[in-house]
Amino acid sequence: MSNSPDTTAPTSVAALGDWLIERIRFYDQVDAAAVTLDAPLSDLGLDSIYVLTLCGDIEDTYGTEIDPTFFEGRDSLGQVAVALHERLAPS
Amino acid sequence: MTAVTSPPRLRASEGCLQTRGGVVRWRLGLRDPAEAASTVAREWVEQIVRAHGLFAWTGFAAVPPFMKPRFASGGADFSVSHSGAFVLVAVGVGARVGVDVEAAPFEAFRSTALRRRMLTPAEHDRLARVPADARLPHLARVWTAKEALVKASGEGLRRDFRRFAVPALLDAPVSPLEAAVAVLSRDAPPEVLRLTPLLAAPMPEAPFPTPLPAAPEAALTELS
Repeated sequence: MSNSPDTTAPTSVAALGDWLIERIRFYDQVDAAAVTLDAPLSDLGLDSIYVLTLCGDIEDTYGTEIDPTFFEGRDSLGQVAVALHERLAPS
Repeated sequence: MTAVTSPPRLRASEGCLQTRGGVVRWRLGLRDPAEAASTVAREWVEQIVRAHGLFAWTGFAAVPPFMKPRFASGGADFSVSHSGAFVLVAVGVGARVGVDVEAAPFEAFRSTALRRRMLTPAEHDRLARVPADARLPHLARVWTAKEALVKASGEGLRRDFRRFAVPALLDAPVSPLEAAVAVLSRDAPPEVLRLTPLLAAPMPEAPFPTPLPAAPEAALTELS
């Protein structure tokens, strides 16, 4: 991952969902077929290392710093995509 | 005729730490690949509590995902971790405990995003001085110490890893396994015990004898 935010990165909810799925599959902690927008976050192999890695990857790609607490209370990648979309929306 | 098979020969090391006003018992070993790591870890915790009579066993409490597990009753504390085939557990009575184990090849630590989120500036500088082929084990060593500490405190990732440092034990030999136990006792500074040196000795087969020699302790450095 580059340290420079990708300003061309798509930011629709659907695109963010696709990006999240790609990242979790890249981490390779669970079977790729299990990584879906509806799967429980707790089933995706996101231990502390990969939660922190995902925070850093979001920062690299979308230029916004995310704390690990961002994922608390989100039950699925789909919910994370919606919340991330809201975070990235221009205020 | 019923076929009879022998259970796999499991190997583990077990030890005991006396803390100020408390005791911590830990076990590090290999699990049966046919069993889920989380199941093995909870079995080991229960075995430790029962075998050493630490308190009256009443089971585990139900806790939400990503929260520190706890016993159903009593003031004791426990922590579990697994990586690959390795499982590490610890039970603390009169002390809070956290554990973490990471097994080679430590591929996760290639991520520059992770390194940026887990190291202090001084730790970044130190990493640059580590030989290239030792950087992944070095990072695993730092990670296990920090992760064990935040698990002991119950803060988890709410504590920013970029804001506190642990000694990286630069002179320690590279190990394919890094394992740490953190202990928080009342009126005492945090302690992080690196278990990896114990691996130089062969792990005994089950049942697990206790205690084994303790590994060197490591102090913590807090950033303001």
